[in-house]
Amino acid sequence: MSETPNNVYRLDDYRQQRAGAAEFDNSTDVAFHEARKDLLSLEEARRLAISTDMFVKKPLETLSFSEQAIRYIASVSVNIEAARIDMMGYRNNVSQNKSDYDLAA
Amino acid sequence: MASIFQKALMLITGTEKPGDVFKMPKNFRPLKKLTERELIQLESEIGSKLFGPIPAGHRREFFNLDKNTWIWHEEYRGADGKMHTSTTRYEVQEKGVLKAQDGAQYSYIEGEELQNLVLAVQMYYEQVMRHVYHRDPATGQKFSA
Repeated sequence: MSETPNNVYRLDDYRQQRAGAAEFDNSTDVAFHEARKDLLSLEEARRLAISTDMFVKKPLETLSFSEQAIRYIASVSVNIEAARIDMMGYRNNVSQNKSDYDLAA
Repeated sequence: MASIFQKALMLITGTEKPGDVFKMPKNFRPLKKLTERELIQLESEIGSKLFGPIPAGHRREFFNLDKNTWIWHEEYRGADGKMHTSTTRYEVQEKGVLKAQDGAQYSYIEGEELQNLVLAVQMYYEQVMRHVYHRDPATGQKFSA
């Protein structure tokens, strides 16, 4: 996404707006570690962490930024898919109930 | 792999007129059964706006395709009058996030690019959970009616 033209990519603005956001620097892992505190707290990652065989189970504190990022994106993806399935299931149930009602009537 | 790309393309191009594809369904009703595709379209409505105003003549989509895949799509007419499109697929793997642009140019993203993707995913998740699924993104619980 870094190749997207600057005029349409405003994440830098968003980052600067975040209160207490650490300075971002892509040159060192240390900078990423600091930036991560704002973006991806361990508690948040722990909350979103999922049981999946996609990842080797390691203590969260020992994960690198890259590993945490992967785990976070994977967790969010699973949560979204679960919400999507739930929404479709709910709609299906509504539809099914209506059909049952119609048949009973 | 091909089926994922085809699914993404179908979601992007669809069967409707291009301008109508990612708009809220005209006959949207709360109790109407929504398909997975329609839900993803609603999500993409939010995803496309995460990065600021879309320039005139541009079309942008950003959405979660499935538990392993995120899609970024840009479409615009260039000064030469030709339509330019670019589709980037981000595939979450154990080794990293693999980026595939227009079905080729595979690379694992890292550094600032990975940081930006995390931010985009975070914003997408927070807004989609609230506005499409009416759930608290922090707890995953549904908002009470």
